[in-house]
Amino acid sequence: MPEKYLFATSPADCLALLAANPGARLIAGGTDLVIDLKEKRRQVTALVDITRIPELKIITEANGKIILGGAATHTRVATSSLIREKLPALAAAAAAVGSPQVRNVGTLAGNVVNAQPAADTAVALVALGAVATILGAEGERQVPVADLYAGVGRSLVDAGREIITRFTVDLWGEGESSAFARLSPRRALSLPMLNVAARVQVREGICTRARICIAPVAPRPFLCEEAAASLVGREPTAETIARAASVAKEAARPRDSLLRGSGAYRKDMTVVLVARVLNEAFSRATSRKIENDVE
Amino acid sequence: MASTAVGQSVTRVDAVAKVTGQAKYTGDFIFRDMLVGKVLRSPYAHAIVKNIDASQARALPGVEGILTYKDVPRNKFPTAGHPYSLDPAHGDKADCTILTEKARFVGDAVAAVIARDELTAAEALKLIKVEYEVLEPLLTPEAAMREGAPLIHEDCPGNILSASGYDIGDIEGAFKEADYIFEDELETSIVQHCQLENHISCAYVDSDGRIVIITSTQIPHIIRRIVGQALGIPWGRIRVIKPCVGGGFGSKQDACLEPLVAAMTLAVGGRPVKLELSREECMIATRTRHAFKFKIKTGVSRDGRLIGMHIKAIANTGAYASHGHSIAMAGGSKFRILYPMQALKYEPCTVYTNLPVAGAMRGYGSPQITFAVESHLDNIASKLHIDPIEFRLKNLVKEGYVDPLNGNAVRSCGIRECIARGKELIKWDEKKARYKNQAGSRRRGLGMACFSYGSGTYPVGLEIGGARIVLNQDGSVQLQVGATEIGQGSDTVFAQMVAEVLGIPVDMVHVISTQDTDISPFDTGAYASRQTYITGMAVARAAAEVKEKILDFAWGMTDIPAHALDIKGANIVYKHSGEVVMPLAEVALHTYYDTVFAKPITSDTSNNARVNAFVFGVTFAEVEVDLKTGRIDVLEIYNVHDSGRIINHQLAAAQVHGGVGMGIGYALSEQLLFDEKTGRPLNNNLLDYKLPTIMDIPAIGVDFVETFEPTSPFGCKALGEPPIIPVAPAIRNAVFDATGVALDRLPMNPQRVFEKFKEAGLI
Repeated sequence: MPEKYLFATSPADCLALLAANPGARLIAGGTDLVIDLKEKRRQVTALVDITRIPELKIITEANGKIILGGAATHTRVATSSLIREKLPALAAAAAAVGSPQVRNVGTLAGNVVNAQPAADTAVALVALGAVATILGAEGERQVPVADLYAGVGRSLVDAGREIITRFTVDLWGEGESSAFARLSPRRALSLPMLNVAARVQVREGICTRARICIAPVAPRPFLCEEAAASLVGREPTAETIARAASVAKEAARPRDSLLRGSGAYRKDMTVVLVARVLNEAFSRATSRKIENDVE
Repeated sequence: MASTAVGQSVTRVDAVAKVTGQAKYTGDFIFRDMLVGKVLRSPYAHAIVKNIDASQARALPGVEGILTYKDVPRNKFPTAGHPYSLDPAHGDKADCTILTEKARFVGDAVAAVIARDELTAAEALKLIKVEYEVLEPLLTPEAAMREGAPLIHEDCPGNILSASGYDIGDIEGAFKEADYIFEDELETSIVQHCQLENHISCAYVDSDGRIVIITSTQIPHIIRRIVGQALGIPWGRIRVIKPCVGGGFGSKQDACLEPLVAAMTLAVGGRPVKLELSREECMIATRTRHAFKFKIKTGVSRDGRLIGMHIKAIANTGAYASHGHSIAMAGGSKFRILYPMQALKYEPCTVYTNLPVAGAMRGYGSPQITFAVESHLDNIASKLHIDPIEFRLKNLVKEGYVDPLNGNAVRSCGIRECIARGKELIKWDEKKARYKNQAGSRRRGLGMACFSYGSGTYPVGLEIGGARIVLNQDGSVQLQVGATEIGQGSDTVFAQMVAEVLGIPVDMVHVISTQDTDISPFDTGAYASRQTYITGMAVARAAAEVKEKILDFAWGMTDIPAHALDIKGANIVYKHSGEVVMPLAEVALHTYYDTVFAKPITSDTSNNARVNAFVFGVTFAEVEVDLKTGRIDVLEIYNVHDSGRIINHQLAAAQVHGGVGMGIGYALSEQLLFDEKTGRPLNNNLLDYKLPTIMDIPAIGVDFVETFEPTSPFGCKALGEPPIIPVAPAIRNAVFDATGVALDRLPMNPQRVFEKFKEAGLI
């Protein structure tokens, strides 16, 4: 159990406190960390709390980018009118996390650093192409969220000596939108059997850019480039969507789990959720409902 | 009877104490020098304990005692919360010991530690070294019944705990006479009670050398007897105290902790010891609901009359008997009154396996068999092209029917009115027409299911209730009952009954909520939805006795004959005119202090109710099914009950809300899962076990058809368990209506439903 609980006043102060206390780890919402500590899965000498650093909690738009502080809570992301309008996939994903209590304290960066492959907001951030700004002793580096995973539960960000200060999402501009969907055995306090986020852009009736992230079908949020590529250069129709969905199904490798569902079922659900998410994203991007013969 | 208290939604008598935190639960009893007990549980589903080395644990500072099976009495005892049977042939199965030398499920209690605090106790558990000889785990009834399978209990051949059923009429003849024969196979899953308050007990030895146990139980008087049997000591040397209880749903109609906590205090010279389970322990090491597999064969006439039914059932009772020997039979007895037919054959078989112990849980076998039979009936209706409601109406029981086996009579029956009301509430006809030709991947459907149930256990079980009333100097009274308030509201309805009979306001009835076997009247406790009906009879009698004594005393004071007097609004009045004679308080004061005639008024009654009352009801559900994912959403749900006259509508509605929520979880998401090879539990926690959240439950519609049951002084019948019984089949039948796919297994979770849709060629 940690012997000290320290409050950092700035990101630099946080790094200094971590450096001064060997074995320390930073804590934001603590919704995963506190359980790990209680169950002795992690040994920590001191906790450095970053929730009192205002700049880590910003949600704003600047120079064609959306900037979200690492310690922005799921509740604030889910209820932000800016995020709901510009990055609807992220707002929906944040609203799907845990329960109101968990969302009130859990943070975006925490969801990424905990490195669970199906963390809802991490899946959305990967689909959106978000880039994390990480501050460490050697200075700042910028890494796409998709590249922060070393394995299940293992992040390339070391919360004992680094801090994610913010996430940046470049806005694609006209004709873009995004969507998120999940399948879970109950409506709250439930890890997803499957979740999918997609971001698309449509110009002059043709899909120009697309990103699709699916989980848990790999040890990390799975960015399905083949499925996305099958959309680019094509008109977003029910057929195009169905093709992308079946490409995604082929690429997905869900495991069998008595708790979360069989691999076969989740493979079948990949088709359904990818199709639904693309349908929603394209409908929003074009302000026109896509007639889908199967729905 | 003109009601002043009965039938009113009076506030719970314990509401303020509970919301302000003043109510004392077992965990609130803290004694000086209290020690903490913890249990070492087997990691194997089936294994013999070869050796236990506790030397390191014993040496840990703060450890006060280590117990293994060698250190505790080895008497075999039954744990089921039933009245003691004078006939040994009908006693409960005695197959438990306080600690075991043979582990029969993952979680079985192999050793125990008593230490100065939780952390020390937890550390000590880790230091105990147990050598096991691992045996083949038998994780399904099929595996356990296999020829040559190892025996879970050496004295139980074939691992079959019980297989007694019944036979009404000539089933083969009935099948010959029938125009059609239909067959179905259905099965239900293992679920857990998940009551709010985990199991907890504490015990000490008092200055007279008696063992005092404070425990979260539904059955304090029965616990006294079971602890006596387990320890092999006279029952009078044990005192059981039941304070406030945070729910049980049957898991506390069983002696899960008390024999062990008693052994613990004895091991430390009588010092107080607390034994509290974690949620994870509670979910595997207390009780679960039996999973059943049914095979049903039914003969029906061309015009839709049920001629005969043959039901075979296999129930998985887990590692110890608990209530297993009686649950299959209870379920099979209570459903049959609903549709009397000329032949009915029931063949249940209850089997031991190396899984957690299945015991009593809300409905006691009825939710399982009702799921099977009510689903089966909708399958038949569909094949016969009859509306499922019409089909049921052709076959429902009528008032006056007498059960041919147990002699219980239907003296009040509102099932037809319940169905009519449910149909209206859900707009059955209108929606049925609207949903006729649906396209697309989201389909809606309507379903319903009926149930019948009893009020208590007569004639299978003894139905005794006790009540004691003391009249105070101010005209208020204390009421003591042996029946237990566990959150369901029994204390409040008893207060209403006393107020009604005595003609005083409810707040002049002080209910002693704690049961103490040294002090409280004898009553077997909270189970079988019995207390309002059974204990209510004793309460009515006690109150009537007090009233008679009050009026007699007033006669002496006024020269007005008792038969001309009554009590209304806490005044003695003329019966014919209502004119006030004197305040009740004045009579009461004289009963204490009149220098010649003083004789404070009390009553102490016991009522052996050799009677039972059938209750009925229905669930109507509307669902939306996502064909592409298998997800089922319940859009609307209504329960309509005939529980006789409702004593307190607000409490009754709360019972129904809870039961319907529990039923939705049973239908759609709840299931305890175990590793298929080792029997280790996979989801004994509230994250992975999918109890529904408030987000998963739609608004619940509740209504009552208030018949008057003549065997109850207040016209009331059972309500506690029934609301859960018809919920799962109603939802299942709504999915059947929406999709045409006959689901046959609980829970109807998305994957399972999707697979059935695929199998049926729907997608």
